[in-house]
Amino acid sequence: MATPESTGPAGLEGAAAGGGERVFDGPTRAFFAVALLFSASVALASLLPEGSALSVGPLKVSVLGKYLCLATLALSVDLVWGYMGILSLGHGAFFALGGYAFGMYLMRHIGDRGVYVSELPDFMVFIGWDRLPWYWLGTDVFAYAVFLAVAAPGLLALAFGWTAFRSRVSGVYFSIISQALTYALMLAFFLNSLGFGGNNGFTDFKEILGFGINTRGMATCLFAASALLMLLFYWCCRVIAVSRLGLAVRAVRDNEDRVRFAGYRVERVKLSVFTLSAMAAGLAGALYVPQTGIINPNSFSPLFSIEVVICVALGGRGRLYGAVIGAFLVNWLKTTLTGLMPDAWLFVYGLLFVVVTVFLPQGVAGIVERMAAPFAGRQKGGRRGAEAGA
Amino acid sequence: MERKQAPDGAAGPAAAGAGEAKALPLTFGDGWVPKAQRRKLYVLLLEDITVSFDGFRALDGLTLYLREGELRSVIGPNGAGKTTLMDVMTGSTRPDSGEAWYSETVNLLEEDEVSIAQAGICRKFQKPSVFETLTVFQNLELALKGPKTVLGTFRARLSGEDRDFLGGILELTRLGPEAGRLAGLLSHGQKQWLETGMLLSQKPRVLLLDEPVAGMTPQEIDRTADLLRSLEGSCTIVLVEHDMEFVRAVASKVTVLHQGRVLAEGTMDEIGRDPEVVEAYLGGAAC
Repeated sequence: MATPESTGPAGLEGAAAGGGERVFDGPTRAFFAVALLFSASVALASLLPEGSALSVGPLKVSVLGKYLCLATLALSVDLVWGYMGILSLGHGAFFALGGYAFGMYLMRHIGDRGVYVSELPDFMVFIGWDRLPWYWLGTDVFAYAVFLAVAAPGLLALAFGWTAFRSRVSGVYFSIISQALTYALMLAFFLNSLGFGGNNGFTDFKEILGFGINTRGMATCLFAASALLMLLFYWCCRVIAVSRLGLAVRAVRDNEDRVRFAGYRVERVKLSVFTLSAMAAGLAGALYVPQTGIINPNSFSPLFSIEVVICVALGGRGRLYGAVIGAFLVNWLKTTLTGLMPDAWLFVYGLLFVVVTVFLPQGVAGIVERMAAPFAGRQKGGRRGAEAGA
Repeated sequence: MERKQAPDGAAGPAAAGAGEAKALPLTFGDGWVPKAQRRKLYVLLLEDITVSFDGFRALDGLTLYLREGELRSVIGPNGAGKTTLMDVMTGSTRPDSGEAWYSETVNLLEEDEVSIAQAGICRKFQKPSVFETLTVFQNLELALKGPKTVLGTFRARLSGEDRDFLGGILELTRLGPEAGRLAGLLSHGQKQWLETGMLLSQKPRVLLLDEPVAGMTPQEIDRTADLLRSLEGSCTIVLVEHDMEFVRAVASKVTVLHQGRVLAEGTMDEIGRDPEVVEAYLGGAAC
């Protein structure tokens, strides 16, 4: 007769919650090992004296740092799409909002080193404003700017999500309105009168916390911060995924109505996860901007948001590490190809989408998993043996 | 064979005497009671419920009383309003008129699906709906009665007691060996059982089962009947079913719906003798 202890994963020793899944399971440990090794070696190599064989230049470090920010954005999309089944085609908006929020700080710290030698940002002088609008107040304080980079996307996601989820907008309709959201924001940010630099956006940054932005040390610091943010958010996603909330999130993807009849307020589950995801995207955007050196309304373009979704699809959704692999792969391809043949990128992009949809529904991570299956199988066999013995 | 068993003997603690099948629904069981007191007597009380969809009356002045611990089957031809009745009880459909009370104080017409589910009315759907990408055990854990808020769920951990409880459900539903498998990989019958198990995990006071044996093999049907009988008394069960043999096997009181109204109430044998029921539904052949 089966005793409760021997009835499955819950009976396993050391099982935390969520039906026995652990935060640091096999794939997560492997991912953290690789990611830490990669980040540490890049950071170290960037500190080596220039010209030495192993040294990585600041330009390269910034590019890798940007990939890490995009990977964080991809993670945030994977959390809502891969785990909760909500395809957001407007997540770029949260990323861009975070970017603009931190961009305000960067603009304020150009000071009078701008073209017009004014304390006001150049574009404001250009359109004839003589003082800062109210929403720029306090943005010269680093902590407030970082707070804004999290709070602004968070509030937008809260308002947008509340409206959409409460009226039970889901599936393709949600995707479409999320895209409309980012498009509307793009049009708004193109306006000079909005006070965010119109189509030129923000650029020509000088310093962060008093340190010059175009130094090697700053490149390394920003890279390290990006790596830290990515790993931290990854861990955060794992903690949620293995909790009972994570079960509810995955159940929402499977059958939303049934979750309601199990007594969960589905709208609140969706709203909290969606908002959290937007806040992480905002922080990633805030770190992305100083490494790119520019932010303009094009970062609100629907195309950018779709690109992130393709990263997640290519990497393999619902796995987290798939999103990171996808973000690195797609953006590396993009950097390489736009350098070689700028016109070809969009075609490759379309092709990627078709190939993934038709041949790789599980993404690259699916291939990795199939290759790793023999090893994992052995582990599982061992576990099953242990269960039988219990 | 249990099917020949006298229904009264197997009925729960709240069993009413036989011979009242033809009594008016309002007086069913214990005579007429003033309106204010009626709610105290029944775990579920529906009076004069009318639901219409575009002029079609799915429920037409339906009145139904359920006592704590009762096992009641609701039968009726297609379109009689059985599923609509369940929808009203779970808050999915708002009636045009009537009253619906649960456990004396909960007005079912003012609560939504989630609060009704939290209050202890749990529903199994006609089509087995389990979470296919979660394991069997995770399905049960998710349904477990406990914190349902976002933060509460995030912090929730299984206690030893919870594990024993879920283990017991696994045993009861014979899903023990499948606990670690994805629910999507189960057979149809097993999915039906898992969903029933999920309802039990919610520790319900009222269990609404919409055709729980649809698509099951005769053997699985027998086991399900055993399962329901074992639950009798611990919670109130409303069973909507087409399978007359199964209804007989669980030996419950039966309510016959026809065109959105209660046509008759009583034991299977009694309603089988009712000429109106025979006319409307059984056609004289099913018994």
